[in-house]
Amino acid sequence: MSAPRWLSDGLAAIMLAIAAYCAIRPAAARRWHRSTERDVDAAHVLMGVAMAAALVPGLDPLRTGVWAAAFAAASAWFAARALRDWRERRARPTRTARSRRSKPGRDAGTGHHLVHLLSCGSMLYMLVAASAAGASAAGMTSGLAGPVSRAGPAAIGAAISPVITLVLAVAMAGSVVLTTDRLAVLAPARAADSAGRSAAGRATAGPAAAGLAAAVEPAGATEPAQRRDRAVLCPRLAASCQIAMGITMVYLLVQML
Amino acid sequence: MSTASGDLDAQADAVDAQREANGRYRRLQLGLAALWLLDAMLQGQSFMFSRGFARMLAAAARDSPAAVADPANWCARLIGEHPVAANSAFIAVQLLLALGIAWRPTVKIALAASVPWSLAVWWLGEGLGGVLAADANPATGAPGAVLLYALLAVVLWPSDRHRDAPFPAARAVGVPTARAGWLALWGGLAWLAAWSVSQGPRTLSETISAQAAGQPRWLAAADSAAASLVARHGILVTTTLAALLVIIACGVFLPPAGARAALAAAVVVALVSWVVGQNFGGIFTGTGTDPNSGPLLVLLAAAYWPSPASAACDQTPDSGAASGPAPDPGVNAARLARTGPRRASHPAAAAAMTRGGAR
Repeated sequence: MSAPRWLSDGLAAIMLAIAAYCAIRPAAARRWHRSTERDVDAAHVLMGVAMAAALVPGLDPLRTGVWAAAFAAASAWFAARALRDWRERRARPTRTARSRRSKPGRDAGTGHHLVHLLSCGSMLYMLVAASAAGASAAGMTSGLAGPVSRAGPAAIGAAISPVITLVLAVAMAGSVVLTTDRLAVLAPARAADSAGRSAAGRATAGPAAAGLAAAVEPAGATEPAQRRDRAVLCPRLAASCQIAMGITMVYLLVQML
Repeated sequence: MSTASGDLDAQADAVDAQREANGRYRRLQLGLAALWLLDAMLQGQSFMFSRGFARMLAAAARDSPAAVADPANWCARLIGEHPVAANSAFIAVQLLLALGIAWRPTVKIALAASVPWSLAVWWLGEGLGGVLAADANPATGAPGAVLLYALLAVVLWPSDRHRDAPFPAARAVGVPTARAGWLALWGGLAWLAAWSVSQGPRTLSETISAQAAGQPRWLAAADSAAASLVARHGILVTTTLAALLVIIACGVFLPPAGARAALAAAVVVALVSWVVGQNFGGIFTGTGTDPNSGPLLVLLAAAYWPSPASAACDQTPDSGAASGPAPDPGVNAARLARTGPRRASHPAAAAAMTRGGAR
C-alpha cells in the first residue's frame, strides 16, 4: 500500500496555488509601488510547479533536463547572492552596538539567500537522483515522480546516497522551523501605528527578517490601500508559502530515503 | 519602488533585534521542533499507511508484561483497522507540534501537548521502549526516543523562573531538578547496560547484529563489524559502557570544565550508538518513525551545556524581547504586553507587544 492519493493531490494543489501566488506578486508589487524580490518569487514559481509535478506525474510540463538546468541556474544565482551579501556584510561598517556584536556572515540577508540556495539545491538533487534512478530502470518516462515511483527501492538505493538525502531533509526541516519562528517578527506593528499615525511610512515590522518580502509602504498610502497591499503582499503570507514549500520538500526527500 | 534607506535601516534593525532575541534557549526549542517535523514527515512514508505499521507497533510490546502489552496490542489493532485515518492523524498531530513549538505564540501549548502525546506513544506505540522486556539495551535506543521528547519539552519549557541558571535546561525547573532528570536518564541507561551484562557476554553483539537486518549494505556492514568487535570482548565492552554512562550521569554535578567533558562524552556515545546500534532509527529502511534517541540525546546534552557567557548575559536587567537573548519568547511577549507601548520603541518589539496584547 502506498501513501493515499489525497495526500499527494492535496500537496500538489497547495504547491500550484503557491506558484500562482508567487507569479502574481511581482505584478502586484509593481502596480502598488511596493518592492518585492523577483528572484525569490521566480524560484518559488519554479519550485511550486516542480514539486507538484513530483507529487502528481501527470502535472509535469517539462523534461527532467529542463528542470535540472533551471534549478542549477537558480542555485548558482542564490549562491552568488549569498556570497555577495556575505562580502557586503564584512565590508559594511557597523551601524549600532548590536550590529557590532553580531557575527559577520550570519546576517539575515545571507541566511535568507542560503535558504533559497538550499531549496533550489535540494530540488536539483532530487531531480538528478530521480533521473539516475530512472536511467537504471527500463521504461522510464521523463518527470520527477515517474522515476521515483517506478524504479523501485533497489534502483533508487543504488543511485542516490541516503545520507545526503537525510542531511538535506534535516536542513530543510531546520529552515522551516526558522522561518516559522520569524513569523512573529513579520507581524504588522499595530502598536507603532497607533503611536505614530501621522507618520507616512507606517512600519510593517521587520519584513526583511527573512527577506521574504519588502513590504515598505509608500508615503500617503490610504487605509484601504494598505489593507489591500497587506493582504496580497503580506510578508507573513510569503513566509507561510515558504513554510508550506519547505514542509513539502522535506516530505519528498523523506520519500526518497 | 519607494524603499527609503531609513526604512531599510529600520528593517535591518528589526533583523538585528530579532536575531538577538533568538537566544540559545530558543535555538534548542527550534531544534526540538525540527525533530518533530522530521518525525511527522517520516510518518508520511508509504509503509505507515499499511497494516504493517500496526504489526510493527504490536511487535514492539511483544515481550513486555501484559499490563503494557495488552493496551499496546489493542491500540495496534485499532490502527490496523483504520491505517490511513490513524496515520493521517499522527502526521497532523506531529506537524502541529512542530509548527506550534516553532511559532512563538503557541510554544507553550505545543510543548505542553507534546508531553502527554509522547508518553502515550511511549506506552501504546513503543511498549515503554521495551524497558520492562528482557532485551532493552541503550545501544539500540532504549528507553525509547519518544520519552526524550517529553523530557525535552519539560526542560525547554519557556520560563524565566531561574534566569541565572548555569545551563538552559535548568531555566524552567531549576538546577537540582534538571540535574536529577539527567541523572535519572543516564543512570537508567547505565542500569540497562549493566543489566545486559548479566544476560551473557554476547548479548550486546547479538543485539547489534540483529539490527543489521533490512538496513542498507554499508550500514549493515558497520553493524556487523561492530558486533564482531564487541563479541570478542563482550563483558569488557559492556562493563566499560556502563561505567562511562555512570560517569556521564554524574557529570552534570561537576564544575563546568568537568561537566563539559562529561557532556562531550555523552554526545560521542549518543552519536556512535545512533549509527551502529540504532542505524539512524531505521529511517533508511522506510519503516522508521523517528530518528531514534541519538539526536535527542545530543540536543539534551546541548541543553545542559554550561555557558557562563550566556548566564551572565541573561542576568542583565534589560534582556527583553528587543535586546539580548530571549529567555522565553512567551514570557517576553507577556512582559511587553504588561509594560505597555512606551517601552517598545523598536518595530520588532512593537510587533511582539502587539501579539502579546492580542492574546
